[in-house]
Amino acid sequence: MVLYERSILIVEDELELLRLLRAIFAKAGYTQINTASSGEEAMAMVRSRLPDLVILDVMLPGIDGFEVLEQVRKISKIPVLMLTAKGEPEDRFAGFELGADDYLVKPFLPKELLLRVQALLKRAYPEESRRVLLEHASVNLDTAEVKRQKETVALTDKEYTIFLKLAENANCIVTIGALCEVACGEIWQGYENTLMTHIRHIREKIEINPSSPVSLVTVKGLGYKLLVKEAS
Amino acid sequence: MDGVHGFFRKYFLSTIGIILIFFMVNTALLVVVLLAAWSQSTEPEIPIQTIGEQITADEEGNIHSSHEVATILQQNEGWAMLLDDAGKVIWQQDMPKSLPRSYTSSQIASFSRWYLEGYPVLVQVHPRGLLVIGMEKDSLIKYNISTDKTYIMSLLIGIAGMVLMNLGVILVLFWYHTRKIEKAVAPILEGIDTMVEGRPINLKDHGELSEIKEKLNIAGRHLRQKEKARQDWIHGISHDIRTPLSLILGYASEIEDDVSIPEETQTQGKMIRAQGGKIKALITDLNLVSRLEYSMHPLNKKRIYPLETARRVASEFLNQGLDTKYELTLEASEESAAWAIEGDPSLLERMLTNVILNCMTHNPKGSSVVVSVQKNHGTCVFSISDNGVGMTDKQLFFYNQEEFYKKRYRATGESTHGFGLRLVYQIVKAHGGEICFEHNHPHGLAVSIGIPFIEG
Repeated sequence: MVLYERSILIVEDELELLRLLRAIFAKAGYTQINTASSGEEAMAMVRSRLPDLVILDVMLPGIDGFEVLEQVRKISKIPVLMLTAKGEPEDRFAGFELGADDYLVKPFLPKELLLRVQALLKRAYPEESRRVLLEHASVNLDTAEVKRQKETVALTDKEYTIFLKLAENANCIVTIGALCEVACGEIWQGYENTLMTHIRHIREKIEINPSSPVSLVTVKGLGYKLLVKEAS
Repeated sequence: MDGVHGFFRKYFLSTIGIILIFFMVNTALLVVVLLAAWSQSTEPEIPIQTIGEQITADEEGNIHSSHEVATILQQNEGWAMLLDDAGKVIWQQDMPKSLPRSYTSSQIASFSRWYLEGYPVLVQVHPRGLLVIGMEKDSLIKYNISTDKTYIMSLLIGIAGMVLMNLGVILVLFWYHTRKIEKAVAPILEGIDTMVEGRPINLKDHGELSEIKEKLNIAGRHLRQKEKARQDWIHGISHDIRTPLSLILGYASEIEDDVSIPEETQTQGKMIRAQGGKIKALITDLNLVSRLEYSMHPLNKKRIYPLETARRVASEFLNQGLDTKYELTLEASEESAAWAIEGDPSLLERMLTNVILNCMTHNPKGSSVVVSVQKNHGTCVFSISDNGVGMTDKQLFFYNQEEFYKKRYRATGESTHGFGLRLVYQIVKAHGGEICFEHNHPHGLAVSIGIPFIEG
């Protein structure tokens, strides 16, 4: 199923905002958008037909968003993004503890919301083959295989973890610390040299000329950036 | 609390000072009184030795005295006689008629010690007997002391000891008394300190001065309630503004991205979106400032690597498409990668972001901002410098004052600084750090923020 064919349920009591949200998703190409303006209505819709993803406001008349989330979690593991004006750390923690997959505080930029929803959908419903197309190679994220010209090589476990982090943040700088963290956990100090080795090995697999990379580039002093031509 | 201890220490020392001054003044007064009495004294200073030398006897046993003897005696209104060994007067000068002309040895013994018929007398051994010089009645008080030497010594030591003991007792009593007052007053002063810092106050309202403590508790609660109300108010506004602002940002983005409408309108949409973004940042800052100010924001402190914090902030700027008119660079030494501090990562990132934004908003196009992580005497120093217009000496002075961040508005109602920098200041303080604004060379502003390293 194509991403945009996934059904989305938007729960928001502010009708103006609900209209805007519907417009944003419609414009982005989503075809199955349902809306609800109260907790009860949302629960009824979830029970009648389970959506692929829920965008949920917290402050709702009747049963509130956190309660809706709790009820949804009893019946399903579908991705839920909380979209709320309640931005304090306590609220966010409460949301995540109840099982929210993401938490976006109003006011938000439409683009950010779309990207987050896209990421949630991709993670929850992985495509047959997730592929990242680079300048000289293509990487299958499901099999961790790299295709360069006609040869195929596999990424090692650590290389794959690092590559995935870079691919998730395609075309953006990912700091050295963030990469070390995914590779070896929160206490990553001293791992920088190992990381450089891994990066070199990844380059040897995805670049034609690893010493002057065009896809996995170094951003001096900060980290690395994966330049992606196209991802699916 | 140091202030309270200091106060009572000073109080105690000043008490000792007062006692010392008291004793010194008393000693001085005593000396003055003695001097005054002495100068008033008319004690006849009869040079008895001289008189004795002037009275001579010739070979036949006749006694002669010089004219000088008579003069001295007249001047002092005195008289003199010479007794032989048998107690008979063998010579006299101006001797009152009423006095006998011979004395028994017991009489001699008596008057040599005390008085002769009310006349105070001085006696001296003379080659011919005993020279007695009498003085006007009541002109001289005579007393004789003959006591044990050890008794006198122990008396003197005893008096000195008594004075010292007294001093000691006074000091101990004062010290005890001061401690007592301190014990009663210290909780109240501490309570006021707590109140000033905006923390909740709860004094035990028994013991000394319980009434004052109770009133302080009430005042503290009132203040807390007001602060709470203010915080709720800010929180409420920033909450209520989020939904309408979502609509503004949403539709502005739509307009900005809509290629079917005129380019000028699209630019206007972009402007609305950008300004809406500023309002968004402002309300987030406002809310955070208010929460930090009343210690209501839980600090999620953990071990973090300052260099990585700087990297994340710089990357975020670059990822979001740094305005091409600015240049942002991160400078760090090789060793700085190993440094660690304790802090709330998101707050510290926010702090750096705000300082960098401040550099950018106040400087013209083409400015470059350099972020660096350094080490200075046990603190990790984030340094953010730009080559822009910088600040005047006066501005620098104000930005380095603590009071400056607490005051939002000048008397004229003009805003002194944005919430952004106030938030920076609060985050720095919440991490036990220091912030310093300086000139950058040759021009521009250099902001250094020092956060203590983790011990060990």
